[in-house]
Amino acid sequence: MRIRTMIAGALLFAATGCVEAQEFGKQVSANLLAATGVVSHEQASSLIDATVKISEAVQELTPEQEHYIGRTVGATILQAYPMHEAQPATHYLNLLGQTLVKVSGATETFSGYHFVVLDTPEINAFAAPGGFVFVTRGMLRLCDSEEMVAAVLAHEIAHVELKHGLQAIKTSRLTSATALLAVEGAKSAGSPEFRQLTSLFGESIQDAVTTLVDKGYSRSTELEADRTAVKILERSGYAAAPLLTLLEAMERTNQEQGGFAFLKTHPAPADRLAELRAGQPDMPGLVPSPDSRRKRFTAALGNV
Amino acid sequence: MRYRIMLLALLVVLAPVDLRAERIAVREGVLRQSPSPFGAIKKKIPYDTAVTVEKKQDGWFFITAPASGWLHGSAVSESKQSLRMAPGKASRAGAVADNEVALAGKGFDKNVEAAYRKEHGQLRYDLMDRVEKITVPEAEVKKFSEAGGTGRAR
Repeated sequence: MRIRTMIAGALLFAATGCVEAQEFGKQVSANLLAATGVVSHEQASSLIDATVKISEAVQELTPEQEHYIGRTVGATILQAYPMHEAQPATHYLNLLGQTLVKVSGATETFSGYHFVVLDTPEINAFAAPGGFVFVTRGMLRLCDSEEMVAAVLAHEIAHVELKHGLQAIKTSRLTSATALLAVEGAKSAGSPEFRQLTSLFGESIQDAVTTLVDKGYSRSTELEADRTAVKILERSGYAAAPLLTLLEAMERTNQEQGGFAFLKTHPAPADRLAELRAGQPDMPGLVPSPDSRRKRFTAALGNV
Repeated sequence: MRYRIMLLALLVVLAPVDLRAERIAVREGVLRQSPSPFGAIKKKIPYDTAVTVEKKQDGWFFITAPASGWLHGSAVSESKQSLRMAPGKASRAGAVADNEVALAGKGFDKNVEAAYRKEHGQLRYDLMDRVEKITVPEAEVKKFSEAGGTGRAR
């Protein structure tokens, strides 16, 4: 019982407080969890990481709320970029996406994952909360194999799994919204509380869209998504090497054509490559795409 | 040795607490016969339904109520209260009529979306409605996965 209290205390400690205290708390929590023998020290650390990284305010959002935030973020993206609705590309992207989703940590989301092609030569991709993934034709043209497209999608699925879109929202907006829900009036449309809730919703959408489309995530957030993408790719059987190929292609295009849109919101591909290689020096090399994949890739995306 | 026995006893005490995940966290939770991505589908369970988790295995939860079968862990919320109510409101649920409970304190929901949409007519919710309908049958995903030799997602 005492150990249990200590574990709970240490977890709480890890989830709150200043950075140094968090680090110390994480260590203590990991040691305690590992000491119980339920999990190895490594597993314990990753469990604690999960509790630290996702803020309490984000954790309090229900899956349904995440879905409605994602829908409006998506509606905003689709205002800025036209949707490419040609069937072969969209259908293929969704088959490939679902194959990867099946082995991700967030296989199921409120309304499931939906993969959309944006009709623009710009090289970019976005993931809205809840599993709405947008990939531009420019990005698809940059990919010369199914494996590279898989790498793009795995990175975006990682953003969904890690709830990065929600974490871009200022905590104060979410805590204010939660506080409002305790007020009876907030549920009746037209009341001042409901109007306040709606404006907090709008501000939250702005936070998420600004980060996704204009400002970009922090370097560490992108690297976290890359690392999770590697896990998804390895589990799926696609292997992680194509993510490196993709980053190399982006780096090359950047050097040839200069400052494309993706760089506005992402760290330099060369930096991401260096981080991935440093983190996993023994990553298996690229293997040629099997015929079955090459044929369907060309049929679906050959003319995208 | 005695320490180990104590820890074992502690685990027994902790186990029921750890394994009490409570609610379906997705619009339709897919209950499968086996803990695998393409396991045969037994049933779909709606959002916020209370479930009894008996055991967990590699990210999958075996539930015994309202039906028995396997759910992916991401389809289950650890929350011990309804996902349709604001935090702290659960204890008052009994005092409110059923339809009010369903409406109360959902936060950012379809009503908030509707109000926001009215003020932002240029946003492409019409396209998002279509995006939500983009789905591929599971059998086709399985075929795609097998044909491409991405074998582990069985």
